[in-house]
Amino acid sequence: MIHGGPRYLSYDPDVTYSSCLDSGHIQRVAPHLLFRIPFLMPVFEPAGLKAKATLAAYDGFFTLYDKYQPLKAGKPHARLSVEDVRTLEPGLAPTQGGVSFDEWGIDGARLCVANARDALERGAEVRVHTTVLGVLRREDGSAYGVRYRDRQTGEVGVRTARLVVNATGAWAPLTASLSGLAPEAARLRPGKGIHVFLDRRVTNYAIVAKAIDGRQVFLMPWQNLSVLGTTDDDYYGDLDDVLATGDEVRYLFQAVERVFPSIREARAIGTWGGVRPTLWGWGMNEDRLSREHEILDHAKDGAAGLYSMVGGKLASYRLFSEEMTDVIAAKLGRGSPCQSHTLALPGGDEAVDPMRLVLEGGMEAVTATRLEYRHGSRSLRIVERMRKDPREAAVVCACEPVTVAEVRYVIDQELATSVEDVSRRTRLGLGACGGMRCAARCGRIVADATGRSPAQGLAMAMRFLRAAARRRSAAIGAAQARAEALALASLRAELGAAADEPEALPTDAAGDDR
Amino acid sequence: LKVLVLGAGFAGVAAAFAARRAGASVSVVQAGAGGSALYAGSVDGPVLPESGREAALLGELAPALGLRLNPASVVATREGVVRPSRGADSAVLDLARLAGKVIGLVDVPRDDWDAPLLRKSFAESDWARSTGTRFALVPLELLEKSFLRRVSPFDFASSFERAERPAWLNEVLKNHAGPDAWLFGPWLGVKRDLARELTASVGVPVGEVTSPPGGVAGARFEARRDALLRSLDVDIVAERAIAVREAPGRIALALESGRELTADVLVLATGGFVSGAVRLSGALSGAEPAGFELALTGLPPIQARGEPVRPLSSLFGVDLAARGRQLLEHVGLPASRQGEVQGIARVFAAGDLLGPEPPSVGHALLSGIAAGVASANFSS
Repeated sequence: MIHGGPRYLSYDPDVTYSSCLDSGHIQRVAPHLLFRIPFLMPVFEPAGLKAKATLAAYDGFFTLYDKYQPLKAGKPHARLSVEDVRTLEPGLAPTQGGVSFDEWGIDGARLCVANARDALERGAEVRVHTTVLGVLRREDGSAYGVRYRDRQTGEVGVRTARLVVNATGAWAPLTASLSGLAPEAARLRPGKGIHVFLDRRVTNYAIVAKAIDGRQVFLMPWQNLSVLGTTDDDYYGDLDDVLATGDEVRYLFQAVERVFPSIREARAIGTWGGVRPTLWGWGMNEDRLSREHEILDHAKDGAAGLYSMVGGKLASYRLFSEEMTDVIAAKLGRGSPCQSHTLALPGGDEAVDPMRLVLEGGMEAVTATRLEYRHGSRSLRIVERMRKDPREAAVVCACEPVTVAEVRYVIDQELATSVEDVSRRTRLGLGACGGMRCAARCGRIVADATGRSPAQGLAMAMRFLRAAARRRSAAIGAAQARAEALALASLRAELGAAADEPEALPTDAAGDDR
Repeated sequence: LKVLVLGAGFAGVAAAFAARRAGASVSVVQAGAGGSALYAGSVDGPVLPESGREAALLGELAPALGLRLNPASVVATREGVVRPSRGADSAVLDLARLAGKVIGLVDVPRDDWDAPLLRKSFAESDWARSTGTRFALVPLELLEKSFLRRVSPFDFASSFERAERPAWLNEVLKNHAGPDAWLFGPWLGVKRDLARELTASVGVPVGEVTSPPGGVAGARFEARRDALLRSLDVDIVAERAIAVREAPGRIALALESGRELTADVLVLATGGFVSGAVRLSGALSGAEPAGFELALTGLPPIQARGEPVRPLSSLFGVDLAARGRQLLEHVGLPASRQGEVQGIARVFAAGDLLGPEPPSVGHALLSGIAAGVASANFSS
């Protein structure tokens, strides 16, 4: 989500302002990737004065938030009666009314890829599956490049540069220490957050619920699914192996169940876990930590030319990078006014009618709609592939859906080199069947397009399936258990011995292909 | 002696068949499709019976269900894998007999059939390399209408059964001389055995890859199963059972309608997790934190990997993230080798409901036959 951050309004209004402002900018540069998520904040107190006071307080609070909405083309909030809420979301527990307000959803992976693609087209070199082994430093301590290892080929190399920016998110302290700095030089307080995915949209509105510890969590419609989230817990574990656990999943269901009682009957099909690069702070709980971002100039640590970007949130990613670029431009003594809030990202320059894609590419309407969402005007390039070879219009993943042309396009144009990569860029294999019907085929296509053998393609598919199953395990309920047992049986039948390897994964196998 | 069989998948039909051959009067209770309707068309797991009598029964049962048993068979799957198998649906091409030959892979521009990459995958398999078998891509104009590119495999398979289509297909294959065998997607008929017909008329083996789960092979099984049950003269009750009850000298099965059936012996062949006979409870369902439960009440407690399901240490049931989702395949009722369920009299179990063995068609057939024979010879 590109969240405007009303939560911060009462104690960190600058974060709300910058989030809303930049949410508007992201809309301008990547309009295809945003979708409106109307929120509903119900009042659950028993009927009476207190409930009325709460509703009035919500009303007042969101009147204040309304001032920020024009920054991001959001609609003003609405005060809803008991009947309004019942009509809008009949599945909610009885309320005493509520308020609705406006936010924007986004596929964060697509946004990331659009930025990488944009950088490539403007002459940048982008390396994926590459680990920084260390920052190269001169005798005076200044930075002049990095030493890296390609995690797929194992090749170790060196890339020099005038400046080095450590934008490695929650890994920032590790990267700093690989540069010979003290880990405190880029200190963070990493906060783990998880989401649970349901197999369909169970509400029209994102519902705000309160968890057992008083935190706000949401049940929200997101693309074709519903998402429950999120948690925020200090994280001390392995950053390369962040996995939702059963107790985190239960915490979320417990919270949402109080406001949406039938939620336990829904089918959970997956989880997603990540770690926020939250700014360091001592003595407060996770929710109260600042969502501001900072640029650290490591000249103060004796490493001139090395910078770390720490903190921040997705909604202000562009603003953060603008600030970093200003520092770099000043340092290099060149530059021009910032344009990243006005120049479209790849695909964001022009709206495309999905029906045009249906007619030109020979796809189903739903396939075209999803394709246009992910690629904007670049979907025309994918349709061009289908026109050259109509067989590329074949659907590989029926849940999303994803076509052969799109799989091949993200390999050619978006640096995908594994099934996991394709999945992150297209959502292939993340639907209700858990990739059972598409992973092996996707593996064959990736292997073919990258000059690897069919057996390597199959191995890649198995790695993806195991990692996905591992992410699902924490959330499996009664309904998904049947699908899980079927997936096990069908893998054994279709893949033979390849399916019988142990399920436990080495730490970094999910993303790597060696 | 009256035997009641609950479930009509591979295990249930094998039990009904064996009990009937052993002279019992048999009723089969079944409601809806189970795990067998989702099978891929290959027979895996054990296929060697313990006794000559059981072997004779299996030898008669398998062909009646359209299965060809061969412990050394080799099948190609829709996922581009060539793998050993213990047998298969008779429409599935057995590659074991085609080692060193040229196999024509039918290329049709259907959404579910990526023939060029499948060919590559088959051709580069260990089996093809070690036997010197070649796969040749043969484009055939099999799509009578362009919409057939996207219809389900069932509809596509059915489209070859109509009127003049089998004869036409026969002509198409005859006009493409060259391959020593033909390998199709899972489309060679649902009700008719077109693979056998074409093999006879074209003169070289014609067959399919195995089906995806929920594919054509399962539909064929159901058609043949129905025909077999009709010929066996068994009573078929199409209703859902909800509970088992011990009655003096009898065993009773309560149905959803409130009706109760009684018999001397009950054979449970309900399937396991895939069929819905075993369920996960508690984890997120809000039910009691037992972990696993049977859909049918009145039976002894369920076991996991052959051990009792221990009382769980949290209020929320089984954490599969910690215990592994394979556990789902190893949950079931404790039983003797003949399938006699421990802890309740006059009840036998067969197939996926027996926890320790992973689910397979071979295991379902063998345990079904064993339970059918044992139940027909039951004496208290």
